[in-house]
Amino acid sequence: MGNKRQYFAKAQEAARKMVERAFGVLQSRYAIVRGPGRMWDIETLSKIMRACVIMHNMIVEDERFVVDPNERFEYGG
Amino acid sequence: MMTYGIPADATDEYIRIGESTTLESLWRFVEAVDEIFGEEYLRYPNEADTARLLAISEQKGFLGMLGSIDCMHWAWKNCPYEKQGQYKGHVEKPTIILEAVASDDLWIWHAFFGMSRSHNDINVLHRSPLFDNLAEGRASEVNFSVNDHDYSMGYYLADGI
Repeated sequence: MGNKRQYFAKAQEAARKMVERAFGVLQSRYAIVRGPGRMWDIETLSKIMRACVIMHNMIVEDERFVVDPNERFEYGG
Repeated sequence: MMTYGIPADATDEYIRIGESTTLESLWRFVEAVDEIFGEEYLRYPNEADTARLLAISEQKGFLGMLGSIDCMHWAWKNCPYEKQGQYKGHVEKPTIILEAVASDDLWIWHAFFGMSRSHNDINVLHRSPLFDNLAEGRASEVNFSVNDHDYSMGYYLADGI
């Protein structure tokens, strides 16, 4: 693998880990999306997911200037 | 229920709220959150947002990037039997896919939920409304140039799809 590719892969990983982290943080905040979905219909599940994402964004906005970006979220609620 | 992931029938013993009441309140709560705050907190990035996103990604060496995109699966335990074939993929359990775009501060810019496991990330992207704004000319303008090439659209960083 050339230097060029190695450099790209490194930059890509660094930038992409954020989306993976966003999922992790979402799941650690809302255990309901971590465990298996128990509702019978997909509309309910989709509303729940939307609500979780919306509230997640509210928290992000609220903590934007306060939180240490290296804070570790643990799985386990 | 949302934060602890407990089943609805656990609340009657624990806090003495009946199962059907719990489910009804959960439904009303998520519906209200979606209705009242959905527009603001799941908005498409406006001019100011776009400028901020571009500034962040430029620092990271990805000029013109609006965020990273990825899919995650949510297992669906109570998937109706007749739909299980559709919602199962090459693995055991039925799951539903959430496609999301997130930026550096973990803000989720786009959430598209509801595709079944039998789709792969590319199929999901095809169905997703992510690029609708761009197609309909409502997206904020993004212009940048790399190696003397001019680009007029932003992009999302992906991996392995």
